[in-house]
Amino acid sequence: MDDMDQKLMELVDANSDENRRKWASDWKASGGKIVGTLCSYVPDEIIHAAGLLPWRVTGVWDQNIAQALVYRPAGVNPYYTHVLEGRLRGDLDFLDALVASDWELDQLHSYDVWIALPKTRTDLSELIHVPYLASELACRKFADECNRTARSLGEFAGIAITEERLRASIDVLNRTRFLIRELYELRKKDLPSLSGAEFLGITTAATIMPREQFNSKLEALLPFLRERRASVAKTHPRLLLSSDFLDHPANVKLIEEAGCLVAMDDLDTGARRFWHTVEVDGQGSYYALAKSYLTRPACPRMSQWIEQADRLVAWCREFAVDGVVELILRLSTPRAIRVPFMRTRLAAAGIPHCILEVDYVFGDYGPLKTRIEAFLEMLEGGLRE
Amino acid sequence: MNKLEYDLARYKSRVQKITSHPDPSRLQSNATLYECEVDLLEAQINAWKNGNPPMATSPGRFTALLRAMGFQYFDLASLSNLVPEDLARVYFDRVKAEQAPDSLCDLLEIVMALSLKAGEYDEGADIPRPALVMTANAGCDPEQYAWNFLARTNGLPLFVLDVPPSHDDESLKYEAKQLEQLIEFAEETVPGVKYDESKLLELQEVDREFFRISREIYTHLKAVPCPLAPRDAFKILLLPSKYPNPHKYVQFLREFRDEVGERVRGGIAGVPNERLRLMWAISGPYSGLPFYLLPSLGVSTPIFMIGQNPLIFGPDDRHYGLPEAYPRKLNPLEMEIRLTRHAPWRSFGAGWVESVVAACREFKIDGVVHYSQVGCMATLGTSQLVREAVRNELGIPTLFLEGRQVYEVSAQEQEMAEKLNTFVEMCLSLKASR
Repeated sequence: MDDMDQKLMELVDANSDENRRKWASDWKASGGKIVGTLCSYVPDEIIHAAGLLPWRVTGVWDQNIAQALVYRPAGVNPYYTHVLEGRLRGDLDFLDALVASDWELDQLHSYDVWIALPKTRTDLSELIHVPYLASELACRKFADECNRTARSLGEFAGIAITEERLRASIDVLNRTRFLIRELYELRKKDLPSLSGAEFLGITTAATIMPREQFNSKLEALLPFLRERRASVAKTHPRLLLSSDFLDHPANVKLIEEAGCLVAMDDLDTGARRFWHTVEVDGQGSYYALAKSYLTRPACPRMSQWIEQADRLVAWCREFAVDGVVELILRLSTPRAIRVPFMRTRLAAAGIPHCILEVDYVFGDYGPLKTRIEAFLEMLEGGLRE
Repeated sequence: MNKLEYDLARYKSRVQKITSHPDPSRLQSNATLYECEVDLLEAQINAWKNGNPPMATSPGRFTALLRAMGFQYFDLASLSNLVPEDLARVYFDRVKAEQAPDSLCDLLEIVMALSLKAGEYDEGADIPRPALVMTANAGCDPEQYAWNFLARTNGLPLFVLDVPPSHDDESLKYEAKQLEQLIEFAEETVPGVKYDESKLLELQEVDREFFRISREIYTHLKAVPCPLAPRDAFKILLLPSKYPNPHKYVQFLREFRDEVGERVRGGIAGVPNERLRLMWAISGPYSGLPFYLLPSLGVSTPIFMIGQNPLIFGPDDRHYGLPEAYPRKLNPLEMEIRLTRHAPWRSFGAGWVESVVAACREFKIDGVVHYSQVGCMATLGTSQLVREAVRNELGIPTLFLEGRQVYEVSAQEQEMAEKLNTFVEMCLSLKASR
């Protein structure tokens, strides 16, 4: 493996079980503090401006969640249960703080459990309310929430978060988002630079690494990536993968091994997180943050389903996608309820749509593989015609 | 037959049964309650048939405001609740055909199923298409999204009210501001709709009566022995403003209060030889089993603990203070937010857990039955915190049960009977040792 490939793999594998704590350890060794997040609507900027490392929490990637099941019943969103398991095992002992949101009720109640248990409580815990719509009034409300949370983080860090500090952090995170969108442009190529699995590795790396470090590494890799050809078995059919809380590249690899390319995504760990630029105008940085986060491509928990469907269709066209695979995380309500609506909209746009219910960790992959293979066969039949 | 006419027939039958063959062992005030339901269903059917007045729906909230704008309230929540098994199967199959996952809560699935067959009265639809849909994350996520689903699936005007989890004065002002926007939106979107503040104030006065009388009812239910049998305990008391004649619903509340009060004064027990008192929390049971099993074991259920109950009976109303006492004068829209009773289980868990502990203490509860629908996100996440709190603070146990409106009800009953029997024995043993 040559030097550039090694540098690429460093990013692709940054959030793997073996590597992800390394970034946290290095940060702590330099005297830094780490803030865990569970939701992509928590602006990294307010954490970064406090001199803290924003760290999207990944749940344990195995099926043994016995400790967490003492505190969470089986019938709830497994992502939060896997996160709790990690905390109870000691895997997340390096977290100094947690900022969660009310993305869904289960996240709010997971936060309740987190702060109730001495074993899981962090030195600082905050919950930020994310409005369900992006009206002017809601943006102002979210701006207040960001301001309140930022003050709390600043006090925790012993740093006053001035307008200048916040703008500087916005610039850093805007750079991250810009670089990643440059990477997304490469997904439009017929012969891709990265497999879908590799892509998810990089986007999740961007949620745990010190952001300046991530930016410089990715920037250095971009010229190499523009020339690179990914080692993929098949480049067609081209799929768009739509889901929430999906963070394990192995899950994407399983789908691609069925005989396709995941050419684009609609993930909170992927495109939705990075598809916006915060533009500060006369209304101040908090308002700019709020407006940008609430108007970016939305998660299904947001009320604007029509815009979500339009965005999905637009991405399918832009990235020459042959079909959409929608993975519904079991017992996560927002996406599940939207399914019939999205199905109708995609059908009207002539876009084939496969809907699968999955767990956070793909346990018994056999039935899933069969369904995906059947979908791909249908797509391939359509392509031949 | 559409769903409204189906329910109308059921309620008319109940009214007829009570008035023609009154059973002295049952609550007579139920007749007035069922008459109110008949009135509401007839008003909705007439509005649907005639296209006038325009209909508006919400998940059981802001009924006074919607009526004050001239809407006929469309009660989709009641239509979707406690649907008989055979009909529920039809609805669930309809939603399954749209590939919605099976893990959604049953109430939500039925709202979705009805939404998929909304239309004109003479088109064979199940429900009407309201002129306005309002949704809010005030009860739970599924409730909010289900009304969103109704609007999006049918291309209906939708207003989304955003409710923060912290119920403080800032949140109150934020929500009230949104209600101003709702009025503007409704007046612009629906012909003939015009907000009448005097009408709102009049309806709010009646709704306030509900709080006062409900507190009196709950005070009676704290009596030992409990004056009500379990079959009468699972009554969800609602705001009068949704009914065409809200004063008739207040009359029902007074009759109910007086009946329960008479029983307390007469020392009449809902369960003869009451030896145990259980809190039944979250959802009413889908099977009738608890209504005859529990009394046979000497068990009463003084409190059916659902989302909005702590706002009515509790000494500590967390939602912006007590209705009558607030640190500043509220404008009518702010008062509407207060009277709407956002469910505490939709907020930070500590408040809900404390409410459960307080209720157990006040109602002298010996054990908690935490019965939730499969997929109930409002309460499953805090269920273990509830269990720990009642155990540590009161020394009482919790039984977790799950239920579905359909699918092998008889098998559910067998399992439920076994678990309830065992739980009752355990509670009795613990009580004896206290």
